Amino acid sequence: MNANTSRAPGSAHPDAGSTASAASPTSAASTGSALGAAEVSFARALRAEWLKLTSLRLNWWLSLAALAVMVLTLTATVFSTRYLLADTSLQDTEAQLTGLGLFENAFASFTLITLLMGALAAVAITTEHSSGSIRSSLAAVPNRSIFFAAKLLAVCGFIAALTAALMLLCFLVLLPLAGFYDVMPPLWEPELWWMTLSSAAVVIITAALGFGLGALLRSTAGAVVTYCLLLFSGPIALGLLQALTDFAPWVEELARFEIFALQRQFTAGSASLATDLPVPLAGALLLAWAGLVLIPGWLLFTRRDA
Amino acid sequence: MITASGLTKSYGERTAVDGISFALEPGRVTGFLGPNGAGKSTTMRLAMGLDRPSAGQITINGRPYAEHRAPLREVGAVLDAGACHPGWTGEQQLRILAATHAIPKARVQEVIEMTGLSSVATRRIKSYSLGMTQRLGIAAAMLGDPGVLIFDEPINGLDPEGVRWVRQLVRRLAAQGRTVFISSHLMSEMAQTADHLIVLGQGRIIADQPLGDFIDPAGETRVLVRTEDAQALMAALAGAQITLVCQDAETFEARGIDARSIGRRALEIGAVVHELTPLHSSLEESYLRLTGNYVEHRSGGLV
Ligand SMILES: Nc1ncnc2c1ncn2[C@@H]1O[C@H](COP(=O)(O)OP(=O)(O)O)[C@@H](O)[C@H]1O
Ligand SMILES: [Mg+2]
Repeated sequence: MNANTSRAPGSAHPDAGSTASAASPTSAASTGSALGAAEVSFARALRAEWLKLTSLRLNWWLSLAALAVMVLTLTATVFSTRYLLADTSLQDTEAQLTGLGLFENAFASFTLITLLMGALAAVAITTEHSSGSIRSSLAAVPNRSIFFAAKLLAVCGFIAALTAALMLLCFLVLLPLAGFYDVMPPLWEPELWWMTLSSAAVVIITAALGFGLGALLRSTAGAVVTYCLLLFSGPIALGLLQALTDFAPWVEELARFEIFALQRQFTAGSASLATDLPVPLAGALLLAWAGLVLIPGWLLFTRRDA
Repeated sequence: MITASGLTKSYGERTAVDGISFALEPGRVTGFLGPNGAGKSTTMRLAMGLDRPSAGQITINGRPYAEHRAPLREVGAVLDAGACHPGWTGEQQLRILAATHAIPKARVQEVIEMTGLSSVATRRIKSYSLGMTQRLGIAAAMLGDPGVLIFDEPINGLDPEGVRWVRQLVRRLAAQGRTVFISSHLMSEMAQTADHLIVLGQGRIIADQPLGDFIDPAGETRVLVRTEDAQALMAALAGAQITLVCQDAETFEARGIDARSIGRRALEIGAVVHELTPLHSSLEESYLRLTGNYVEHRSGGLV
């Protein structure tokens, strides 16, 4: 078929010769180009997704907003500590708890950052649909499961990197602060490290929910609004239920499975209360929440027309 | 090679593509012609695996699109409405696509230069004109140097220079032995680029034949010829099915023979030709007659 063409036989398929495509002219030989292309792989799809994330200015704005939230929180912590601890001198364990408390306060700002990151994750997929770039993306990576997984992993990686940077900032500010007021948390014990790692995990897992919603709804506004509803409707509805039923036990039971409650129970670590769910279970349930949205999102994404 | 068999796509109640079958050959430009809403874009989206067929299948080089392991090396497509993110620069868009196939940066630069985008490559796509967006789409399609090219209405929004550039590019790609599939709703456009035409009306194929055949049955091909050697050329062209109508000393109109054949004949007898214009009214008419029953929204008469 290509005998009369000016192009050399292709080499895109290692098994060429056994398939019909063997006859297709697919080589750069005649154009003398700098082409040296390989097959699509998960790693390459992942690299492309990473490039997309870093090429999108919105993501840098959202990251900057997250940084601003953290800087404000830390500034507030520094000033409030001066007033709180100015002229008290604390005993050993008390001092350590106070030191941990400083970190706990700063990490509380991750709730707000989680909202920003959920939006970032949702936009990563909805923007492809709204701009139409999904068509060229899927032309390059037609296996939709690979595409979906690569995008999810890239988004989680981006958020993880940002969260790590913010955590580092917390330590850079709070450790000297704790040292200055003599309320150093015990660095050789796992409390602080668990709090740090689990808080980071919570940001990533919760933001992944936003990604799943983006895949399900395809619309930025729809996904972001639903994401906020999903996070906040739980506490609001439960609060109402508690008021209506006068704190019935079944409402209290239900309240433990709501997303923010699970976040708290998971990050509590050894400070977990007797009434709390076990820490690993709380973590697993958080993952289940994410899966509840991600799995239908993935299934729909692989089946729907782009 | 693009092959469709019994390809059908319905959106709810509406059947956009209705059991079409065709096979495209490499080394030629196949025009995909039909009025708006005929199902051209849908067929092309099906070919790219973006939509799933309701029935039948469409394969490229013997496999459904999604089964290719290096799809950008096999197929390049410019689908309508620009598939680019407005927030990226042209270069970023190409780098992102290149990353999926480990295509080197040098190739990205090469297609940028080839499509004349060098001066705007680092600007955001948001600021591009329609013509630049089309060029970027073509650059993306050429990235993997594929043997099959799919262009959906590539000349929409292009200035005359751009139109000519696309026409030449398309011809050149076919001459290099590639399969070129190009859609349009303008017969006049296809007449200048395509070797073969598939005409679609309301999701069904109403003609699938070489451009020449498309015109001949009606016997209405008209070509305006302006030459210094009018008498000699007319004598050389005279034949059974050919009518020659003299207009003035240097101009005549030929019917029943296409412009290419006239040009070739002129070369043979060494005639100096100043103008060789296919007069498309008849071509356009036969196309309109063919598709007349399939137009979705006929324009109402203006009173
Ligand atoms: N995603 C879609 N959902 C519903 N109907 C669609 C969709 N895409 C195309 N159609 C319908 O299918 C028909 C063919 O459309 P299209 O392939 O875009 O035609 P063309 O490209 O030939 O103008 C039209 O009637 C259009 O309204
Ligand atoms: Mg169309």
